Amino acid sequence: MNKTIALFLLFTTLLSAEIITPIPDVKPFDKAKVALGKKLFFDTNFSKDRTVSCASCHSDFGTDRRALSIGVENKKGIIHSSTVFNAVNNYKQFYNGRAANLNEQIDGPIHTDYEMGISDQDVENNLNTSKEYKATFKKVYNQVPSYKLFKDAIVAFEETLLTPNSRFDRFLKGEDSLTQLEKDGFNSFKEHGCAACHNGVNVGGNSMQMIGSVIEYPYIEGQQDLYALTKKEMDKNVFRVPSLRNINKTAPYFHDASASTLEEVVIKMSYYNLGTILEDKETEAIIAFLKTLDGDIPKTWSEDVK
Amino acid sequence: MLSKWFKVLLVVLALISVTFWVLNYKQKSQRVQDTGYELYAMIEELKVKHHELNDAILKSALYRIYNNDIITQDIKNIDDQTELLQKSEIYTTAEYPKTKEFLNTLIFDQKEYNDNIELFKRENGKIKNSFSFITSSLEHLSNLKKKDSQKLLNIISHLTTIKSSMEIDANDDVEINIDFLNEIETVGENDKMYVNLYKTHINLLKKSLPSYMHLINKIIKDDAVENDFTILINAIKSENLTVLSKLDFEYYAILVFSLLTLLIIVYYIFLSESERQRIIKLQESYKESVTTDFLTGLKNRNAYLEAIEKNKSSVIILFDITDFSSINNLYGIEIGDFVLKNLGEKLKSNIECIKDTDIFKVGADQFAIIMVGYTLEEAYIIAANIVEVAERSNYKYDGLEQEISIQLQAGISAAKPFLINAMLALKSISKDYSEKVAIFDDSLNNKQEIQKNIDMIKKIKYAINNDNITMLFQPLVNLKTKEVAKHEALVRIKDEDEDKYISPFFFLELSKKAKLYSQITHEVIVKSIQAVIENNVPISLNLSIDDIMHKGTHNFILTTLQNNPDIAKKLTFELLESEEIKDFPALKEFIQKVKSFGVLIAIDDFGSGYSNYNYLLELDVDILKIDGSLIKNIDKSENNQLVVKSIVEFAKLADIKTVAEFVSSAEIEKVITELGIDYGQGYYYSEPKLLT
Repeated sequence: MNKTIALFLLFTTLLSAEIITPIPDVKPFDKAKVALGKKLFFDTNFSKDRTVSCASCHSDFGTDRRALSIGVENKKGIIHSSTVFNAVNNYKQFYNGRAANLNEQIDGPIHTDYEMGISDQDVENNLNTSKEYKATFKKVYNQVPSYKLFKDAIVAFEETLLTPNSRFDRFLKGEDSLTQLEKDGFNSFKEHGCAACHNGVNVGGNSMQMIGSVIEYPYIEGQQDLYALTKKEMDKNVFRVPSLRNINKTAPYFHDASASTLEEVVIKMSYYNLGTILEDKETEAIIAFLKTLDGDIPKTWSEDVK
Repeated sequence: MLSKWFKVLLVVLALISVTFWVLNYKQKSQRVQDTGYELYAMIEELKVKHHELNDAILKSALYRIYNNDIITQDIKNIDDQTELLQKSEIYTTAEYPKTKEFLNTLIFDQKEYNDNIELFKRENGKIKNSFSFITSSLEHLSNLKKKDSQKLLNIISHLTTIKSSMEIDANDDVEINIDFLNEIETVGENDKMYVNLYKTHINLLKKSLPSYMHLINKIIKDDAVENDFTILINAIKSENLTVLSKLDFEYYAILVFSLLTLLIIVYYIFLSESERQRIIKLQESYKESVTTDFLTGLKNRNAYLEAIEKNKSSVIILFDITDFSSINNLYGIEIGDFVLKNLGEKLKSNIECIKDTDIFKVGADQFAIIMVGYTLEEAYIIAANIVEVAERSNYKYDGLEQEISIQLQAGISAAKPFLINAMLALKSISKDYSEKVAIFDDSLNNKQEIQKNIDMIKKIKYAINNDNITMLFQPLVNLKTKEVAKHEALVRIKDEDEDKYISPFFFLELSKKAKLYSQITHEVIVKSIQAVIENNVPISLNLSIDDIMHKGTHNFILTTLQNNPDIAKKLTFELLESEEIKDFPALKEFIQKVKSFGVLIAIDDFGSGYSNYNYLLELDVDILKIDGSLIKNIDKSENNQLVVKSIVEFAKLADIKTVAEFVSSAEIEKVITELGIDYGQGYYYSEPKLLT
């Protein structure tokens, strides 16, 4: 009896499991290009005072553990950085989706004065005064280094930063099983409507939603929401839905880093966005489920690009 | 006019250009069609992708939860396809202006559609979640009074009804009164919390439901993009047709050009045909002129030569106007031509009724009739008739008082060579005017004669080279003393084969023609001199004017006389009277020269011609030999006696000696002696023989 119910549940779970799809393996890539991209990603020379690289704010599971990142001249950022891991799967980049893809995203931190604070020309000068970079660019692109190619290499690297093989993904592929608690957590996740926004391969990152859609969420003046782009009232507190992949590893949470534990997140979300009260048991289950979304650290990140 | 090759080159170039033009046109029209299909297919593809997106939206609205990645992917597909269209002919050429315009409209509407989807994603989850809450959280409000739960249920039911109908105007507010929720009796914090939550959700739905449904309708029902597709597809179809129809013009142009080329070719074919005809006509007229005698209009010698080859059994009659040149000389060429023309007409009309005959003018004054299937006798009769008719007719020339008459002769031949044989036949009658028509006969064939002549010439040559020129001598007897005064040297050729002497009658004229004469004369002189030397008797030898005029002979004679002065005194040169003297002074000079050596000059055959006394005196002739014809029967003819007597009288008066030739009897001797002739010569005395 239990077995059949279990099978039935498994079946129905699998049916509705399409709401989340497993992260695919990294596709074959140009090793030389990706190696170059990685080098550039970690090179602090591409900043005004040569202290800040991409990795400065995107090194811990693709993000940093600070509420606000620190840029050149120790300037504080204005928002909690999103993770670069799996970022390629997001349908837009930045909290307010102002970059359509990873390539456009690079322009943001490079030019922003409290992040890298340099110009395209500075990047190119940097590259062209380095014999090594010139040689590498010649090898990879058979061209003289340029800002365009600089971005292209970094994006190539970022595209390899996928975190497949989480327990939940393996469960979806039928390679692993979930505990009952985790299964219950996934069910609650769906029933209460978390999955309305957090779905797809990145468990999020595929729509613009209002935080505080049911109950109004505090608005911070000048925050990087959609309103900052459109100046429409209805776009206040509208952000790109963050990915829940590796969520267990990327505290603090929310654009304002106002939650530092998963419990806080679940309670806040259920209140402001679902307009519901979760029982403790439910919260626990959901958190257990969320933890199953931890994937492998990308090979190109942890090892030399080979 | 342009040269032939230039014209050919033009046509070839035109044909090549047409070929290329046609190929190019085909390629172009194919390309236009392909482009049309391609664009149409691309737009259809875009439409399909738009429907996929529509589908995703519907599913997203329908299902409790939906994977937004699908919507993201669908939108990306649409963007990719739109980009393809923006790189296509629609944007790169100017041939699809309307399509471009409508595509831009579509892209604009697509953007608005996408913006609506963004909003939809925001509202969709919210609405679904709220509905889910209010329908599934009732258990938490179990403590409510019945009437309150009823009211709540009514509200929930009302909202659900609205949502399932999907019909509400955006401006409508949802008519729901939830004031009662403020006054609900609640038991405990939990209840209060849930009542508040319900209030929140119901308010949310009240506020958001109309715009949500409006949004869905805008996306699903009043899809502007859907409409744009229809317009766009119509535009591409019509504009593609326009482009194709532009090619139509080119197609017709090619057609016209090809037709023109064809017409030109046809024109040239006709032209060349008519040229050909013209050339054939020219050839015919040329042939006619070549085979027609201009003057008489009859067929000419060329035509004759052609015609005679056609029939083996032909007989030809060759007509010749006797001594026609005298008519030309007498009356002039114009009248001569008139005669020829007239005669031609007469002859033609004469043979018109005789079948299988044809007439030709084959010479200046010669006409030939070819008759097929006639015997020689029949031809003879016809020829004779024609000759009679032609001679009987008078040729009256306008402007000339007297009528001209002609003499016609005809030669007939039935064997090759026709004309030559006929001419020989004609020749054979030219002296005998009794006959007008002669048939060719092998005996007329001078082939044998020619052969005989050739043989004789051989003999002459042989004789010259082998010393067979022999002189025979005939004595001249003094009629008073009856003594031999001198001998006449007569040339003979000794024929070894037949052991006889050939008379000069057979070889002398021939030798002149064969240019051997002077050599004979040479021999004559040498042998005569020899005879004088050997026999010491006076010799008389014959010389002709040719000899005297021949430089070599002339000089030889004078030299010989010079070298043999004694012999000279014993020589007599006999000259013929009847010979024509062209250079009288030269002759006179020669005579004077030889006479200075003591040579005597005699005129031979005097009296047979016109008896020119003055001539005798002028030349200072010594002897006069009376022609044999006068002496031959002088004993019987009184007339001859009369003539001879006058000659003798003259001679005596001029102190010229006379000789009578052909004395063949005593009677003749008697007569000539009585007449007072000085010498006699003839068979009565001796025949010519070798001197002993």
